[in-house]
Amino acid sequence: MRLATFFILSSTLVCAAADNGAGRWEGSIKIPDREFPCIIDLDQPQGKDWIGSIIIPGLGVKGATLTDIAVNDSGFSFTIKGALASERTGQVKFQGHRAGAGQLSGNFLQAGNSAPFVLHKTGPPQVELPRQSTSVGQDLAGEWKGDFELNGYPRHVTLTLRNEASGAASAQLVVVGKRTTNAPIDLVTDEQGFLTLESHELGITYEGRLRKETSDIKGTFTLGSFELPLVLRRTT
Amino acid sequence: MKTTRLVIAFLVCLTSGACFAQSMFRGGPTHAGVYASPGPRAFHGMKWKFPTGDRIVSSPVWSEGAIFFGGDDGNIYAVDAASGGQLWKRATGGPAPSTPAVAEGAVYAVSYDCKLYALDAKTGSVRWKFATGGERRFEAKNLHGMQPKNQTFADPFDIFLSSPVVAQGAVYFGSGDGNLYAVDAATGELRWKFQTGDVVHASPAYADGVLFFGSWDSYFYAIDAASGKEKWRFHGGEDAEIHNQVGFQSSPAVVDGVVYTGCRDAQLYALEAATGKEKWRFDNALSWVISGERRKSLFRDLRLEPLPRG
Repeated sequence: MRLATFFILSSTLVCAAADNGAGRWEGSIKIPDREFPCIIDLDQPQGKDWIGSIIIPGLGVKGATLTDIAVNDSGFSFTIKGALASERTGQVKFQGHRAGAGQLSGNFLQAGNSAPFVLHKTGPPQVELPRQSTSVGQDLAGEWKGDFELNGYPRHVTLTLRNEASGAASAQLVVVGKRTTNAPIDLVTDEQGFLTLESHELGITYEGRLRKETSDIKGTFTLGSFELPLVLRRTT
Repeated sequence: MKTTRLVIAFLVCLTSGACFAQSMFRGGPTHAGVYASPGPRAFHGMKWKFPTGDRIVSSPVWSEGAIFFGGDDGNIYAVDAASGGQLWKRATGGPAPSTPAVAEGAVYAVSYDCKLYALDAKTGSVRWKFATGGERRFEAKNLHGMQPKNQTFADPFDIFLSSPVVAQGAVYFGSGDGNLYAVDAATGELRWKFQTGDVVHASPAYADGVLFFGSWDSYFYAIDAASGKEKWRFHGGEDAEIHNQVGFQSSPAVVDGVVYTGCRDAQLYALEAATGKEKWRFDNALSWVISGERRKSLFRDLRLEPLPRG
């Protein structure tokens, strides 16, 4: 009898340890008159913080990054970074608890509204990581200047690209018009001379290709729905 | 009509036969839909599924163990054919309901953000982008009899974008701005463009140095691929009142010197590729012929009947 109890307790503990919340969880969110399928990937790489991403097919969300992830023995919560958020509605949060073996349930929360969800574990996690900045080639590093016009007013752009010790590049993008804007750039990539800068906070992107023959970057500056040609020329 | 597929599932990989698929819309430049390998012989169950953020209108294409397709969630995807794992995705600025073409290590795909993308097939990195003059759906006043009569409506059935075809070192595709474009596959520079009278969302077929495609202006065109000069054009049906039975939405196929194309005038046409002369037509009894078997769910009444020999 003692032996049987020992095995039952042991196996329960092993299952609990194995099912720490990491995995692919599939289910649906129920809002009035509609149900959205939902897929959440959660993982905790050894010795590191939790990471996660979410797919909501009916809402056009694929691989959105999860932030503020908290997982413990009884419950979990996280926020979707960026996707589905607006100034009016705020960010989307998930709060829930374990509802049995391989099942999570809880509420999808936004702007004071709540919608229940139920998820079942279907396999190992397939967390989609956000794009990371890369280093830039030596022919891109340095200071560049260019001009574009928006609504009839000239804008002067200064871009400084620098490789950091981390291996990724950083960028300083200053746009001078009626006022001076120092755009916080959170993504810099150099894909064989194709430069991409993104400022999620300001909704600005710049994409351009380095032209070695003319020593400039020919590209497009995008601000919201405006797409403006912008050629940057090296100053250093 | 149900085209919404939120999860793409590849069943062909579960069959007993070898799996060699297409690297371009309908298997190759002529769009004949002929493949080198046998089709699936038996179904053994779903091996994997790959969820995306929205429906998938694009057809999947295969090259070197990877499957490529566009999603209406705005991403171009590369998925490992064996495991179903995502190899990469590249965000575009709009839905991508056209089928990519893979050639020389590049994936060419069109998005509703009015751009043709050339992406590295291995990494998804951008080689170049080409911007068209703009994208839009076919639209007309009193479309399908929709009220009020004087209001212009975008056609809700115009859900595809032109799928690019790659030949002679160029990428050819149609656009909502009414042009057929020829863009250098290596550099993304414009070689030429050919203006039609309305939206071109049909996918051009290429055979023997000639491009074949239809426009929503009710003409079907044959264009010299090298120069962009018109060789001939063929006039389909008109419907000036409610614009229901008009326009080439279908993508043509070229086989043995004959071009086959459907039209929203409810006819399936067989045209001589060299001259544009009509060989025969098949009347589909008022039902649009907007594509081949791949889109058969869009036929109002699908009937499989023997057609005249080309």
